[in-house]
Amino acid sequence: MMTKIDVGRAYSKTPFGRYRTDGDFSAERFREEYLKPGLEQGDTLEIDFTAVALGVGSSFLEEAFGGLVRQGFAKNELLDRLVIKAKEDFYTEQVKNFIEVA
Amino acid sequence: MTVSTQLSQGPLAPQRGSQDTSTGTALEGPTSPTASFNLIDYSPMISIILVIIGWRVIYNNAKKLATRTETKSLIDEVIKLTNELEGITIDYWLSGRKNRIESDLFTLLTSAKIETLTARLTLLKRRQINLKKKSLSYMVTYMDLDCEKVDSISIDKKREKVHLFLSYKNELIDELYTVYEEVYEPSFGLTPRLKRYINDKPQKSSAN
Repeated sequence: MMTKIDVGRAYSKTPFGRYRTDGDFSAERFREEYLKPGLEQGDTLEIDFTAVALGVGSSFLEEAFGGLVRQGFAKNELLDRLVIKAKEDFYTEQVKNFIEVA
Repeated sequence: MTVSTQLSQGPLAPQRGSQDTSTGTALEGPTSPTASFNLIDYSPMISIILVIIGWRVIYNNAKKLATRTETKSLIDEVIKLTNELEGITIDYWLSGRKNRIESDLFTLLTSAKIETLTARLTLLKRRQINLKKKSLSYMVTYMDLDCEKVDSISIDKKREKVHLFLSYKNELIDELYTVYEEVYEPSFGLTPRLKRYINDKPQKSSAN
């Protein structure tokens, strides 16, 4: 079963920052409130960034996805289960790198 | 100009210089029926065909040159955007706190330019200039990763980040030019090709 998260519609059109202290729509909050519950729900989790305005910073992606590894999720499991959808192709590559080096 | 064609050349056709067995007289050749056509009659059609072929060659050449120029202008635009990103990145990481813009504004500015950059790269992809995602992904990562922590990062670390950003930016441009030259091969005239051929020839023969 695939679970989908439309970041632009469900979370924020302008997600920014690593921690909750950086802003209301930080990566830390996104990870805790969306990514972790999404991974618990289904086999595959699709994260759709297409509705996000002007893209997402690297810090946000690192904290959201690299943070999952630091919290105990297995790297291989994440690489298998996460599907990134974005206008910019390189997001997938970035997320993959952040998971691998976390 | 008249062109004659001998149509009957089969075994039943009378041979040149053969003898008629019934009368005993020698046959004068060529005695076979011939068909002839006058090339002048076809000259208007031949001219039209040659004009069409010539026009097609010129059209294809012009189309190739125009496509090459359009692709080059897209590449120039990508280079311009990466240069602008370079300026913003260097200013952000290496200028002092007073001259530095806020991290959220930096992310906004760079994200806007990256969006335009990826749009141009998509256009280039349609023109067979297909890049690997690696260099762009690393370039963006070194550009804005941990930009919120800019004040707490040591100057050595900042220099390293800028250095790596520039390396991947140059790698991206290098890759662009390499793929561009593969798709639209540059022409250097006959002499360098001849030189290459002459230089390659002894190597190939020695390898055999």
